Amino acid sequence: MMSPTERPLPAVAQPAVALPAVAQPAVAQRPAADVIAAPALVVRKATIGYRGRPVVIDADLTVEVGEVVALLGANGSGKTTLVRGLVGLAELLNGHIEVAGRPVSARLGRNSVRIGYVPQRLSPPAGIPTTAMEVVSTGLLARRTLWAAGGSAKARVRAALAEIGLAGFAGTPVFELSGGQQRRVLIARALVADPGIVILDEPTAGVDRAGVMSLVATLADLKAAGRTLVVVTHEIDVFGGVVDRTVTMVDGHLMPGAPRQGDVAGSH
Amino acid sequence: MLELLDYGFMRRALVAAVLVGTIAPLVGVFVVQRRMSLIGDGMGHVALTGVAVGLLTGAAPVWTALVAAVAAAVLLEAVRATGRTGGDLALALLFYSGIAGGVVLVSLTPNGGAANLVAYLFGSVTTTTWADLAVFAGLAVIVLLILAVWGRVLYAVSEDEEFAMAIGLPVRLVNTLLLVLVATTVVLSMRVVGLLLISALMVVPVATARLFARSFVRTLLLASVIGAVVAVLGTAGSYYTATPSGGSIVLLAVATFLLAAAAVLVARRAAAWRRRRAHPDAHAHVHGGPNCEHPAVAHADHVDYLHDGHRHSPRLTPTGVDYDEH
Repeated sequence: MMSPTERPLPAVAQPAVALPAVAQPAVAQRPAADVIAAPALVVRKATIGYRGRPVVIDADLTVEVGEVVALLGANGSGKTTLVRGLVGLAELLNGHIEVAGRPVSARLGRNSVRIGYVPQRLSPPAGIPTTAMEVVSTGLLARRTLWAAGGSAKARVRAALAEIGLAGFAGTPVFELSGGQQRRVLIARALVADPGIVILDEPTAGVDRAGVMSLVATLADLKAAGRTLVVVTHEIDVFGGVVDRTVTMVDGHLMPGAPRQGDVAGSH
Repeated sequence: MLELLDYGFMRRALVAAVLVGTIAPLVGVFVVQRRMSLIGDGMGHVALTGVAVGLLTGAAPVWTALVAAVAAAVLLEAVRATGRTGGDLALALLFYSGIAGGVVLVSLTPNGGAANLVAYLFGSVTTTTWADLAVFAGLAVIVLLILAVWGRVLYAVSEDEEFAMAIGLPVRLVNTLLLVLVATTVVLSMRVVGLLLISALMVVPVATARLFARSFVRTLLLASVIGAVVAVLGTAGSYYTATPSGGSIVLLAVATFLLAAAAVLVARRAAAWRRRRAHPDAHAHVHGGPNCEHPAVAHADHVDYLHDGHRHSPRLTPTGVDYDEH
């Protein structure tokens, strides 16, 4: 079961660089011990693109455990490419990415199951009815070490749905849910494998006002539970209370802080 | 009434119908979810070349058709995965070469394969032998085994291919597997419904099931049951009316879908009408406003309003607020 108390507390004053690996047992380490020792995510001089063509150049980013980082930037600046690079959907052409102290493979489609990914898509294809439970269950396939999973698959899915506030909706067909609820189902799908970090790509895109408010509340709950989040967004205002830190993508270059006026305008 | 069971060829036909009717929608549900409803049709075209090669060389058409269809499946996924655009065109090229190759090769067979051709195109289930049945059963078992082992992964990839790739599932392999399943189902079904109508048996029962089911698994199971029933009744019907089995089965499947769709439409209209009659003042005010006397209750992530013994749940619409009955 995934109760908040089992989650590592947000790290206070962690060193920016990972502790020496000697500090950790060499084998059979518990994921939790791992997560506390190292930052949740380290991106160093990462160049990411498609078919050998770089889109994001020399990106540096360290996200500590329990931190919520907003990734801002204009359309076409490379935000989504960075996210796709992190989850293995774009090529890591150069540089280094680590999740919880372990390097992420540069090979396409062979990426870490330790990054929870919440894509931008809103309504799953309307073809065949499918329930929230069925959609969230697919997230469990990320967890290769099934024997390490606590509780049955069903219990884990229910816990993930409860964590994002949709406990009563397990059997509801996804097409009957609002846009905001559908997004939260996708968050639960990422959470169910208990990843060290969750990356949300434009979670508010195409979601109505009420849905945005409930999404923000959900993210606040996740933060309070100690989850580490990277939120790609245009709407920094609505996430103001949740976000610890902001980084901005400008023409493929990742900068600390919020965008300056010229950056956004200049990137088009 | 059931004198058709006295005939060995009809008993074999009905067994084949049950096999095909059960299996085809199980594969079809993934195909529909992928929005590739016509892929079975194309595979049927390609399998025709395989059948023709069999008729020409004296090899069993089932096996040559299987080789042709599986080869096409692997080729298709390779084109789809590497090609940027033109995947649609590649599909068309492959499929039309398939049917053209089939027609030309069949015409070259010594004893004029024309009669055979019609049997493969539109189904001729009554000519099924026990040996054919054994092959069909073997193919059916293979399809069922693959679905049992890989069903979850197939579902995950069909549901959201990008997410599946992000969590490290072998997406290309799974896509190829689905196409191979389609190819196998096409070959398994060709004697019963015919190569030109196979796609219908994969897709139409799924279209009917999705009108009623609320989950993927239930759609899959219901579609399979519907498929088996229409296949058996269609085969029996073709005996009494002396028509090709494939046509009878597919017409029955389509009729079932139309009836079901009409029934669902009428039921929805009736429910909406009852709702309007029960609340002539429906939504004359916005719940939670100054004139609202309905008690508010928290429900999951939103607030409902008690309204004549049931709950109204607000939902924002482009024109204002509407209420769902809970």
